[in-house]
Amino acid sequence: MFAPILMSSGVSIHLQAVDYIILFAYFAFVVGIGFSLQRLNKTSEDFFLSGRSIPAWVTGLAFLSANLGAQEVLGMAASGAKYGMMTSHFYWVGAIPAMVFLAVFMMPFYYGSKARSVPEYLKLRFDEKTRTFNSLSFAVMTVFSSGISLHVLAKLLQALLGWDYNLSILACSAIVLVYVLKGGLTSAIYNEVLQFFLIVLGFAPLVWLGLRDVGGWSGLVAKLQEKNPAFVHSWAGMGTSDNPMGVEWFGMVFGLGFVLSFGYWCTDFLVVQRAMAAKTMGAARRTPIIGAVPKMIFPVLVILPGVIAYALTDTSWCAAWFNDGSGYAIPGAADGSPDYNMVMPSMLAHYLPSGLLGLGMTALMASFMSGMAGNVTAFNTVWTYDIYQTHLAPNRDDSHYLWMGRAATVVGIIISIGCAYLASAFNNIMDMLQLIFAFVNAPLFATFLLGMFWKRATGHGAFFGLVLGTVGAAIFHGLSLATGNVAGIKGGWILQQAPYTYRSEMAQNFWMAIVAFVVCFTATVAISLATKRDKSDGELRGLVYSMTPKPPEEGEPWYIRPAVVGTIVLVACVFLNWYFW
Amino acid sequence: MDIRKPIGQLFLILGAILIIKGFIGGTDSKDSITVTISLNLIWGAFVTLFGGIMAWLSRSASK
Repeated sequence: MFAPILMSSGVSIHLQAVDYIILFAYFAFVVGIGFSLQRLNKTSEDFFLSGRSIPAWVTGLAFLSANLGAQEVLGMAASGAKYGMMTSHFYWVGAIPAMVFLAVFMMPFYYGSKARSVPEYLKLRFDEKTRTFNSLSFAVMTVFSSGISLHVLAKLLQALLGWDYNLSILACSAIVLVYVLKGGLTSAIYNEVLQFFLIVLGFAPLVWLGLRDVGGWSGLVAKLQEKNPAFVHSWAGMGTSDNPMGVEWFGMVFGLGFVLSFGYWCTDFLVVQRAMAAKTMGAARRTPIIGAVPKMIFPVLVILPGVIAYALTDTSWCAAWFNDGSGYAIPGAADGSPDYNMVMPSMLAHYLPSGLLGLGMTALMASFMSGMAGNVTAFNTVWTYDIYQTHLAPNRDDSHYLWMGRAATVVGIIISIGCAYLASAFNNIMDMLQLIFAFVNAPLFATFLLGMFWKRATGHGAFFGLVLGTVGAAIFHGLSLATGNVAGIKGGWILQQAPYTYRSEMAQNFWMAIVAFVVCFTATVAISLATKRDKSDGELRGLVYSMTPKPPEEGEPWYIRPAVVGTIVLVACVFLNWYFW
Repeated sequence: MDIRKPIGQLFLILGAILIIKGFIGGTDSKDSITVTISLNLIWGAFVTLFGGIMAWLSRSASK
């Protein structure tokens, strides 16, 4: 979830006046959108849920863009350079199926139950303690995630443009604060849509120029075949873990494709909140599918530049990466190893002339700020509805909760700034927090799956299943280690001679998620069967699949029916997996 | 507010900036293709077209 902490390579970018004009034009529009939406925020539902009035194409693009933070843009290009076409698994296995599942099966419960947040659904389906567990962990996680995004952005601006770290932190957080405070969720969603088009139009020329440099698609494939044939395939080397990612097919399909992917796309309020802002049930169900279509082709924009970077860089002598005559080489870190995190910025600097460079840098900055805004809007909603209203100040009038939402936005930004400085001072603390969040998140999908599809699941089962799943993840982490890592924060802290070793941290994380899911699932079933049912069939109506009438689709044209379009998207996804096998 | 309106306006402005840069900025030594054509000019025209379509859609919807 978190982006890697940047960066030591000597890549620098010199922006000219025209680039700054583009940058400031974007900032002016972002803030202007916030101000123009201010008058629409009259109730707390307007502020937190956009008054449930947004059309599907807008929520669909925002659904996708809320995930387009630092990890997506920098991390996927880095992974493209490190793992090649296998990185596409994060899209065609680790996103699309979950998005379709959310649209077809889960969205009717989130939207139809009138829950205002994902934790509130847990309250309606299970009980208060399960909701509180989820809302507290989510609230803390979002502000820390926002802070890390801010820290990485400020480090990036410092390294690339020579901007002052403190000033970057303050300027970027002030912009996000203004447009979220003024326009609430609607403003965040609108800016996410703006960011989507900016990323597409800002990065498309880079892909074209890079492909042209490497000799087109056929030239790229030929170079990859020559350097490392595994980089051309997404599945061919996954029979065992002896491949660039160090993950075998089962860990990929079940760990990433099922547990982590469904856990993120189907239960993380940051993304689900966008769908909940849609104006009708049909629009809410179409939201993830509309997001899935561009998501399927986004590897072209964010992974392909990394693969091109690898193809253009001579890797025959790893200690000193020099280019093969094309003029581009992956930048090196201080220790001589390749600095993959700088692949995207270095490609922008290398290929784009002034003007287009401004557009590309604006797209990069927009992705960070939009990611931060997404976290802040999710935080203020969960804080106000699931923590403040529930535990601290129930039964107040709506204007009070609207005020609290705005106050939570300010506080969320201040905590984010504090976390950014914490990240810059103590890397280990952030690694530790990241690890704890991974433990908490890993089992979550099992709770939702059982909650939505098994009416016998009880509140005690859900709560203790979640706790045991979290503990199971922590124990597994303490007993496992990736090759080359030292026992400690990377694992093996229970037994230094860890009984479970993996070829990569990624494989270790996928298997940790699998263990957490299985423990949570099994414990929830066992405890539910051992405890008394706490909700009647009537109370579960609208919350559990078998108790809820199916949303009517008759009369709707086929091209807006979630089940039909979702099936087409899945078939297209299967085709892409087959084509790049 | 129709989101297509600010999207259209922003990309019309950004497209115009790129076109002006393409006209007055000449070629850029970074990329050999600009020896014969200007990337800013071509991409600026495309961005302007996109902005125009968005603005037109927003205008049509409001009528």
